[in-house]
Amino acid sequence: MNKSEKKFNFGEFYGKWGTLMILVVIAVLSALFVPNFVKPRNLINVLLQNAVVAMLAFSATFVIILGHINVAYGSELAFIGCISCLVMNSVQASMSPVVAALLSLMVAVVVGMVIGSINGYVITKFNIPAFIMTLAVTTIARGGALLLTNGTPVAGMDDAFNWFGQGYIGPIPTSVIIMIVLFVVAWVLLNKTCFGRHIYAVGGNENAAVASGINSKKVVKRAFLLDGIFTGIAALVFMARQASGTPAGGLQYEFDAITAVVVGGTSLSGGSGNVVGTIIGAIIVGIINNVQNLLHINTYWQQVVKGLVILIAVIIDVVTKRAAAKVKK
Amino acid sequence: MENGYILEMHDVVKVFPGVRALDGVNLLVRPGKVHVICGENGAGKSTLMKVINGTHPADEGKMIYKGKEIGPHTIQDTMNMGIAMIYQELNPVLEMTIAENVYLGREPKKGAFVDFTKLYQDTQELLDRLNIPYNAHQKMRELSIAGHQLIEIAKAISMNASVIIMDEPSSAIGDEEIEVLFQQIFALKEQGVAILYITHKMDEIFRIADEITIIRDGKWIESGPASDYDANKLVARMVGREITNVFPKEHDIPIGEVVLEVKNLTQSKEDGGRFENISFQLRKGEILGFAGLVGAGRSEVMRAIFGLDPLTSGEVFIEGKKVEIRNTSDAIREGIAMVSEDRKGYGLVLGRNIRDNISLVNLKDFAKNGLIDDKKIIERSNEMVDLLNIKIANLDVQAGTLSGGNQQKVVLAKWLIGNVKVMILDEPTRGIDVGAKSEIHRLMCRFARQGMAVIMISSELPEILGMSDRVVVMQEGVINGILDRSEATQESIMKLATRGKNRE
Repeated sequence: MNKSEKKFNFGEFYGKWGTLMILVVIAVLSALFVPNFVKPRNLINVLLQNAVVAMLAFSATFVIILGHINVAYGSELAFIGCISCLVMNSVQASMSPVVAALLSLMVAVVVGMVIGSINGYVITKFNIPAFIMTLAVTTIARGGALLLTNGTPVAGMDDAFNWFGQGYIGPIPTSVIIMIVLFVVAWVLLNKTCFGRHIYAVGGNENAAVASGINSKKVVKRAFLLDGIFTGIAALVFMARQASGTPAGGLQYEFDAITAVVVGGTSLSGGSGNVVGTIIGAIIVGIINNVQNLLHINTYWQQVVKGLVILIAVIIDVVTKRAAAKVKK
Repeated sequence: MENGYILEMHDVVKVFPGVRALDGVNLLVRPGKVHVICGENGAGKSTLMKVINGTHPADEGKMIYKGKEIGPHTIQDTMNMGIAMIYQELNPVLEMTIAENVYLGREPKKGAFVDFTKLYQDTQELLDRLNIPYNAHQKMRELSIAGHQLIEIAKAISMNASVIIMDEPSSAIGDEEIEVLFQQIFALKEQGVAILYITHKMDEIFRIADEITIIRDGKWIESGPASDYDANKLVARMVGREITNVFPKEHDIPIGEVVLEVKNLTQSKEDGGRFENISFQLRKGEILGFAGLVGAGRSEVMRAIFGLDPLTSGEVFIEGKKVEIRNTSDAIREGIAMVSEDRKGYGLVLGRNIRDNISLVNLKDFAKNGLIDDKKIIERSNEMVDLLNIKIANLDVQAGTLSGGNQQKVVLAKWLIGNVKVMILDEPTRGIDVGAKSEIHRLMCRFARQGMAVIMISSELPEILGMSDRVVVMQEGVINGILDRSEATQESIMKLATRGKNRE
């Protein structure tokens, strides 16, 4: 047994370092062949454009390790974001704009928590596949956003609000700082708390987790609650960045978030993955989008490329897992 | 067929990795007779049937059917030859009708389309001929399990089977339904069909058997007419082996006060209906063996006590105090631990490493201000690895890569870092090599000596006899008797385990 452990196992190696390798290769290729890519302004742009996707991807990592999924991020962004814009507009006249902005942040978080709790409750109570539940939420939340705004974008928020998406702390954009804070929170939760360990246990083998005294439904509910909180914060940043509450906005954000998670090495079949991989995955997805823009690639083609990226990532996951399993035998 | 046998098996050997499942088995089957195969759990009965019907190819030996030697064959071949098997677990397509199930995969056709008129006509004729009171258009879902079995028999007849193999057909059905099944069997005999029947129930054997073949540990013991046997003789032949290789319990371990007592535990039909009126006591330092045939309901009782399955009524007392157990975390809080027979399904998270698995139950004890102290986990895990002599390269190895014995020790370690009063072990040494087996037995003695109360479910009689202070014998969801170490023998246990519900 010891011998086979020392043998080089591509599956295992890829599992640990694969995502980072891909990032390095892509970054080096882009630096060499894509004009303007290495300019600091562009690099900050990559982070800026992907801060929201990364935030969503962090909590999506929890959900996906559990073997569940959320496909409603795009509409949840629109729904929660529009509510926080409306709140901002209605209170900013009567109080200091900074307090009003913080209040809208709180509202975004609370609305996110409510949506997350409903997701978790329905999925665990009725044993509905998360895919179906969140598919329904996709349409419900989008409809809700359009109803609340009558289908027209909400504008006129104070700069204190827009600071969350456009402001800077020192040389670093506020949204990037928020993303980093959420990353640290997600990392600590997943790696250093009972909740995080329970996520891996339930995602890896729910029966064994229950037989070890873990309330698996509670774990799933908490993960969706967390997912709601992160989505709420991401929604505020999303709207603040464009200084407008767009009820039709956020299209395809779920796709980018899930792609970032999967490219980051988290398996869609549950049980394994981590947020370090996810942040790298988000940057990879960001670079791919950025490079295509810099090279003026037709946006229709960009869609095709996006689809191929997630497809290849999933195939790599399945194939390397199979290879690893073979070596074990 | 001149010798009067429709099916003959001579010196059949079947080797699975690590075991000789069949080792020189003979079987001579006459048409129009019911031939019962007797043997303990794991004697090789089902394997023999699967060799006959082609699921497993035999490694050695001869099979003669209707006077002709049959070479290597598949299930499809035997079906075409007229050998049908009715499995212990039936798999009907519930949403399809009876007729569709009977002719599944061999539907009558008209051109490219299924000829439904003929399908239903043929099936209804068949059902009527067999006096099976169903309509061919009924969905399988509407039928009971006994009904599914009858349809399975009809299917066998529709294939013109001359040998029908029934693997414990009565294990899943009630007394009245068994009567219906027996009527069909008697009718089949009249038509000259040979029935190969596996059962553990003594009363059934003596009602329907014409001939009996006994196998033990994969070896053919003897065959003879049923009239030559009575229950005592049969049991004696089934278990008559010498006991070797078992680490006996150390008898100087003091037995203390009652730790666990259960009274009248019952699981009603709605909750699964796997046992009723279960009462027993368990003392400190005691190892209480649970014996019985596979499916007797032993695991189900333990799963309910541990909070994995619902309990309809009855009381559980820990150290004299009544406790409510609604889920596993309640049970764990009361100091109950359970090592499942399904190590991979319920014991381990195979994709995670050793320390994650060991720390899973008592994770909260390793957290300081909500943050987990990995150093402490590594420390405690290493202690456990030393204590239980788990052979691993390091704690970061995935649990799925370990051998069965080491996996079992990791499961034990997971419980032992907490405070366990009652340790329930369900088939703790199944699928584990002999060396690791006796290590686990030694550990069980150590748990008892430390004052733990141990419940051990085992389907191996030598293990039950070697390790238990007392033996609870179950059959069909009830306790048939509790034997003291001094009364427990292979014979006395097997007699209780196969007594049959209707016997006193």
